[in-house]
Amino acid sequence: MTRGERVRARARDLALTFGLALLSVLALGLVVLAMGHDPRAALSAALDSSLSIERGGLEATLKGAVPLLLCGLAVAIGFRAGVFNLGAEGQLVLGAVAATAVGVHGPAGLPLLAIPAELLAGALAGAAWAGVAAWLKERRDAPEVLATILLNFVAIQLAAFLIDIGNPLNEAAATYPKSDAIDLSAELSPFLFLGVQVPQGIVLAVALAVALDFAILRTRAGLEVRLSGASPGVARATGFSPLRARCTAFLLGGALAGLAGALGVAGVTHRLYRGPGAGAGYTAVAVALVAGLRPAWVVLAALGFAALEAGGQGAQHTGVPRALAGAVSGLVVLLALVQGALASALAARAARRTAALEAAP
Amino acid sequence: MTEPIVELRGIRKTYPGTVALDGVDLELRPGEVRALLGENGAGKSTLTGILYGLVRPDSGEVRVRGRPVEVRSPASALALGIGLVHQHFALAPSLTVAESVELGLARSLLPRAFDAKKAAETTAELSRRTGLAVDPWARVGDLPLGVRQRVEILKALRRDVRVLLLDEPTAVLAPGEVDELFSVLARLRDEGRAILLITHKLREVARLADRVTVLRRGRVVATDLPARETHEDALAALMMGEAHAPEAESIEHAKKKERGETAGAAVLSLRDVTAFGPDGREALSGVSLEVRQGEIVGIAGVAGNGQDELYRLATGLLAQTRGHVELRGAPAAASPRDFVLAGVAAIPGERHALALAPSLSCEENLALKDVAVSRSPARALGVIDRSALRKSALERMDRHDVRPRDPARLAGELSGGNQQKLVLARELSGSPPLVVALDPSRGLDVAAQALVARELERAREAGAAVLLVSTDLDEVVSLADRAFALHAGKLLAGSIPPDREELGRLMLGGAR
Repeated sequence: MTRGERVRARARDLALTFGLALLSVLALGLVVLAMGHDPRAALSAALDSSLSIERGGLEATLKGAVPLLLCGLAVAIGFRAGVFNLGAEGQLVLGAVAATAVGVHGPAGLPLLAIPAELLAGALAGAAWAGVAAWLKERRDAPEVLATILLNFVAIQLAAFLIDIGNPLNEAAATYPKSDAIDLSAELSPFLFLGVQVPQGIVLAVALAVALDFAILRTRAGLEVRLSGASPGVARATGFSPLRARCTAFLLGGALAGLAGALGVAGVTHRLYRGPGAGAGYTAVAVALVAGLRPAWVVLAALGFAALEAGGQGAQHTGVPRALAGAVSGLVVLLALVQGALASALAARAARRTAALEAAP
Repeated sequence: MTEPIVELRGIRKTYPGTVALDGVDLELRPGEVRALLGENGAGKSTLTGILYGLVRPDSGEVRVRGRPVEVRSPASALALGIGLVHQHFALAPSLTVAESVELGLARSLLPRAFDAKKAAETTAELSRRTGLAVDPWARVGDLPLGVRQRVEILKALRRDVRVLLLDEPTAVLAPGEVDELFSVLARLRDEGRAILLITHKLREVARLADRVTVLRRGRVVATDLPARETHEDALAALMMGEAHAPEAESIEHAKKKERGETAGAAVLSLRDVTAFGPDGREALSGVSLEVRQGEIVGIAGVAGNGQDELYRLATGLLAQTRGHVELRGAPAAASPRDFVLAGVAAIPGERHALALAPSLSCEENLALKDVAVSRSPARALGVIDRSALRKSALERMDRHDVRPRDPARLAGELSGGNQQKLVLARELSGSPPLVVALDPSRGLDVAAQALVARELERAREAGAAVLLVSTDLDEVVSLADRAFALHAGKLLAGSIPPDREELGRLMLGGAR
C-alpha cells in the first residue's frame, strides 16, 4: 500500500465510522420515539447546540474540542511510542492547578507576560505529573496503565484539597470549594471569525496537532517514537533509544494534557472548580483510537466527539436523557475498534497473499 | 522380541512451504530406550508433537498396541498412556510440586476441595518409588531446572504412562544431573516402559539408548541401529548428510588466498570473554576470537550454545561480564549506537526482532541506521529529507533487487526473502569494516540463501571482516576461511580450511 492509499484508507475508515454513528443516531431516534419524546425536536435541538452558528452550537463544540484534542494528542503519541498513558485526566488537572496558581498569584497586568506564564506553568505541571508515571514505569517496573490511572485519582483529590474552604487556593469569601479568579490579564477571550466566537485555545491546539503530525512522520525523533513503539528490539539494534522515546512520549503527552487544563482555566472557567477535567482525559483515549493515532486525524475525531457531547446537552432540554449522547459516543468507539480490528485482519490477509504470490516462481 | 506399543506408519506433515515429515515410520517397544537423532529442523519436534496430540499429521497412521488411533490432544495421548516431558517445561511456577503433579487428574464433574495433604503424600510416595527426589511442598518457581524436570517426569508417571517422550531432556541439566536423570530413565525402562529420547547429542545416545533412529530433513535415514555398536562418526555423518558441493569460490579471493593476503588487521577481537544469557546462566565462557579484514570466520554450532550472545556481543547489544571486546584495537562499549557509528553491519536471521520493523515502510527501514546517527536523509533538527530518503531507497532496492520496487510499501508486506534483501541492502551499503551475521539465511528458500552467501563473499572481497555465526553447518563450511565450533559456550577451533566432519563432531561436544 502506498502512502496515498493509506491516507485514503484512513479517510474511508473515519467516514465509515461517522456514517455508522449517524445510523446509530437514527436508531436512537427510534428509541426516543418509543420513550414518548419527539425525535425530530431532539435532533434539531442537538444540531442547534452542536453545529449552529446563530445559536452558539459551533462555539460550544469548538470549546469542548480543545481538551479532547490536546489530550487525544497526548494519548496518541504515548500509544505510538508503546506507552499506555491513561493519565491525561490527572495531567490535565495538575495543569489546571498550576495555571490557576500562576494566573492568580503570578505576573499580572500584561497579557503578553501573564498568559504565556500561565500556559507554560500548566504544561510543565502536566509534564511533571507524567514524569512521575514515567519514573514509576521505567525505574520501578510499575505497569504504566495502573500507575497513570491511579495518579489521576491522586491529582483530582489534590486539586479538590487545594480549593477546599480555608486551603491555599481557596477564595477567601467562598462558601463552596473554588479558587480565586485569575487576573483579568491572564484570561484568554475568544475572537470573532465569520460570526463564530472562536476560542483561542482551539487555534493553539490545531497548530500543535499539525506540528506533531509533521514531527511524528518526518523527523528523527518521530521515527524513534514510531519504531520504538512498533519494534523496540529493532530500534535498539539500529542505534535508537526506546527508553528515550518512551520518556519523550510521556513528558510531551503530559505537557499537552497540562496545557489543556491551563487553557480550560484561562479560556473557559477563569478559576479552578472541582473536577476541571470532566472526563476529557478518558474520552481522549477514544478520540486517539478513532483517529488511528494520527495527530492530524485527532483534530477531526476531537471535533466529532465534542459535537456529540454538545448535541447531547442540547437534546436534554427536550426531555431526552443525556445518557443517550453518551451511548452514541460509546457506539462510535466500539465501531472504530471493531473496524480497526477488521481492517488489520484484512490488511494481514492481503499481505499474506502478496507474499504467497511473490514466493511463487 | 516384544510387540511394539506405539507404531507410526508413513507419517507426513507439511507446513506452508516446507515438508516437515515425509513418510516417517517409527516404533517403540516396552523396555527399550530409543534415541531419535537429528539436527535442528530435521522434524524431531513435529514427530513428538504428533505422538502427543499437539500436531495432526496430514497422512499416515498412529497405532497404539496394534490398534489405529487418533491422538487429538495431550489429554487423549495421556489416556493412551503416552506422556511428554517438554524441552521448555510446561509447569505453573506458582503451584507446589504436589499440586503440579495432581493437576488435572480429578475425574469428577463436581468441584471438590483439593486435599493438599493427601496429594503431598501421593507425590512423596511416587518420588520414593521412582528415585526422583523432590519436596512435594516446594513451589515450582523456586526450584532449579533439573528438579523441575523431575516434577515433569513425576507428573507423567502419576498418570502411569507406558510411553515416555523426552524432548532434549539434558539441554538444561548440569553434568551431575544428567547422570541422575539417566539412572532414573534406565530404571523406568527396566520396569517395562518405552522411552523415546529426542536429542542431537551423540554421547547420550551411546550411554542410554538401545536403538537409534536418525532423522534428516523430515525423512528417516537410518533406523534400528544398535546404539552401543554404532560409532559417533557414523551417526554424525547420517545426521548431517553428505556435504553439498561447495559453491564456486570467487576467483579473486582464491588468488589472494594463494598469495597469502586474505586476512589483514583484526577488526573485531574478543579476549577471554564471558557473558550471561537472558536466563541468567553463563552463555559464553572464556571466548577468544579475532576477525580480520578480508576473511570470513565461521562459528558452527547447535542453537542455544551461545550463538545469540556471541552475536549480541559483536553488535553492541550485550555487555560482557568479563574479558575484553575491541573494535579496531579500541575497547568497545556495549552500545548498539557506537557500533552503528563504527559502521558495523548486523544481519540477524530473526529479522523482526532485531533488524526490520514490519509496520514501517521499506524506505524508512532502509534509512534507520542513517537517521539514528543523524546522517542524510536526516537534516538539521532531525527533519527527514523525503526526496533524499526516496532516492537512496530506490538506489539500494535496485542494487539488491528488492521486489516489489516500491519504497513506500510496508516492509511487512514483502516476502521473507525480499525482507532479508532489504536488511542486506541497508547493512551492506557503504563499506562496512565488520559484518556480523547470525543465521542470515534462516527461513529463506534456496535462491535467497545463495544470495545471502554471495553478499557475504562480496563484503569479504571488499575488505570487510565477516563473522558468520550459523546453525547451518553447510553454510559455515562453504563460506568460512576459518571456522570454530561453539559448544556449551566454549569456542573450539577447527582446522584450516574448515573440515565438515571435524566441525560436526566438535559442535556436538565430541572429541577432535
